[in-house]
Amino acid sequence: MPYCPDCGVEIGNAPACPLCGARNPRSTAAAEPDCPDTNEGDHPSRRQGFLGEVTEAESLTVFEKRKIAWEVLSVAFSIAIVALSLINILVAGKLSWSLYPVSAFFFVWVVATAFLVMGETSRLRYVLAILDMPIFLLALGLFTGDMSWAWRLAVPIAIFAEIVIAGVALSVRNAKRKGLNILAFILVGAALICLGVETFIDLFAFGKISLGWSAITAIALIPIAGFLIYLHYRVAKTTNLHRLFKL
Amino acid sequence: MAVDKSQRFIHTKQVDESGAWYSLDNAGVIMPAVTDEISSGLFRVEVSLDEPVDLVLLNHALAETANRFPYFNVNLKRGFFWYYLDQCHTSPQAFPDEGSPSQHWNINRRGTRMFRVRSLDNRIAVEFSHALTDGTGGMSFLKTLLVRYFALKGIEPGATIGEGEYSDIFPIETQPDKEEYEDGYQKHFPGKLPIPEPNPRAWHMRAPRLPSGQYRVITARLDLQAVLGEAKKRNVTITELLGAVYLDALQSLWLSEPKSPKDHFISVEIPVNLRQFFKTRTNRNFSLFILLRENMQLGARGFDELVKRAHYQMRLENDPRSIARQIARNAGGTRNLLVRVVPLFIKDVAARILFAKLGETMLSGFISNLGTLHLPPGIVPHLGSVAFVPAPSKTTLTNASVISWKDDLIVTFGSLTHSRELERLFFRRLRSLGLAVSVRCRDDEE
Repeated sequence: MPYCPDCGVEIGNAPACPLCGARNPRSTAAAEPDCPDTNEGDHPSRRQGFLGEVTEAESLTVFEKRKIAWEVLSVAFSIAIVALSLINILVAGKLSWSLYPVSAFFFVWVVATAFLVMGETSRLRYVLAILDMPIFLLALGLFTGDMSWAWRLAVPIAIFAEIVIAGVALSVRNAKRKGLNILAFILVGAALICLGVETFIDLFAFGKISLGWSAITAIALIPIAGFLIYLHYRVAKTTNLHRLFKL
Repeated sequence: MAVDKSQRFIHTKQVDESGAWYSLDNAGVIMPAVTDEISSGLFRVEVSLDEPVDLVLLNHALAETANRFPYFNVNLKRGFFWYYLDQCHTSPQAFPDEGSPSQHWNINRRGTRMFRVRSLDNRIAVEFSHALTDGTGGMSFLKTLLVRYFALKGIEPGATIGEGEYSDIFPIETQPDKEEYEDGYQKHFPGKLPIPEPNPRAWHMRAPRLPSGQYRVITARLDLQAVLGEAKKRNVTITELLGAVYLDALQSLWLSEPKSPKDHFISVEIPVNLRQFFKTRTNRNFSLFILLRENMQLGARGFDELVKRAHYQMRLENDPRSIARQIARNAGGTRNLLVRVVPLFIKDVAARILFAKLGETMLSGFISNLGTLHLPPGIVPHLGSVAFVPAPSKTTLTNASVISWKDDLIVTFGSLTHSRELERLFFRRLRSLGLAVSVRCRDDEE
């Protein structure tokens, strides 16, 4: 069999070597290489788990992992609170500016406690999560020496936003078929929050409600949400189009 | 009774009034966004018979085989959030195997099947989109097609198919099991694991491209026992040996650059069949990859050193726990609600960016070893040569695939560039090891 003198590979009856283009001397066909540019140019605590052995740390339950996270967070926040308070007292002789970050740490810690430590069915979890933000805002009002903005503006907006978010979350959770409806729920929630924010700002600033930007936002979002709801519950259900909207 | 939510990700088939439709598997989900007429994502397996193919019988066998593999007889459709695969209601027909393989077949074009069967003279070839399946699934289809074709010609397989050694060859009268089209990545989703370490950008060969629509295939035949002997002598596998040869060729190309390239890593991707680690009967994609990498800033390495390093890199990465990290990252992404609610047109853009970052930019080329082709003894005498052609890539330009058949190891390079330097360096290295190499390029002979 013919071999390429350069590459040393057997090349059969090819007119040229497929690798370097050198002419095959034993081929009857003319060599027309189309490649002119051949440029030369065992840990004791380990035990069986998914994929074999796992460490003790990897085998912790979700609840145990969350509890560890909460504990780490608690210790870190405690250290930060103590340090901030001491520095504040050392510099100013009393607790003043440190109250803001300290109250923020408490706010985050309460939310973390509610969601990391308490069970999903615990009512206290949701009570804490709902009350945490208003109490934090009231505390800020207290520290600034003016409770009116907190009481009349911040707390109503916070409670209203929490109610809307809870409503959206429940709607998503209860939806039997999830698709475009989820996007619609979120758009409706966003529109409601905008309306609520402007309403409370108007009441606080002017004593009367005169909706402007939030109404425009809502007018833009609500029809889109309605169209998505229509697509999801009517079109995608009555025809086979639900495959189009599979999430 | 509580419904296991993970099942919705595993089982890809759904049926409505219009018929069946399927979700893409976790590996396939990115492919539609990154494939086009040239980088078609089509890999190919071809066989030559001992006589010209009877097209009537082939089309008959193809219709029956496609009916047995309904999850392959599909075309791509766009949903609002995801692509999906719609059942074709007609049987595929074999196309003439003229022109370049794996070209001019864009799955994004409306009504285009996710695979095609081609035939010319003695040759039968199947070309499958990687959005649909991997080499194992494609091979199962081809084997079933061949067995059915020969059965129609009155040639019996001479062994019981559908079980044992031939469990991937399905009797056409059987019904597909739902495990055949399950998403193996989702089935074996390991939960949250640390994401794999990022891979550096790899150097890519730069050379003039062939005219659009041309994909050159160079096939080399080596003696399987001789290659196995060489690998055993070095205490490595054939895949590790060939991976090192590939790295060696890339290293020579990198060093021959007139200016030191900005990207100083050369990297070869070795696809890994996950069925060896995780139990599944799926015929959809179920493979991931290992990267063999060398930092050229450390200087050129001798071939023996490259072989050793390829061996140890493979040994380190080719284990279920390392692979599971890739599964966790990839499958976890498509389970994430935030990802799911993103409309498809945005996902397409994100997929292209992801593919650029985590896909072909981190490899200089790949070499995919499909293993040994096992066919029933009744039809083996009627088959001649076999080849497994890699999917074309505009980024890496040239890639390689390997398959073993009878006493041969067949290495096939597919290239979109005029340059044959990579192939030349690769086979010259094999020759320097004392291995006899027989090379053909169909383009040159036709």
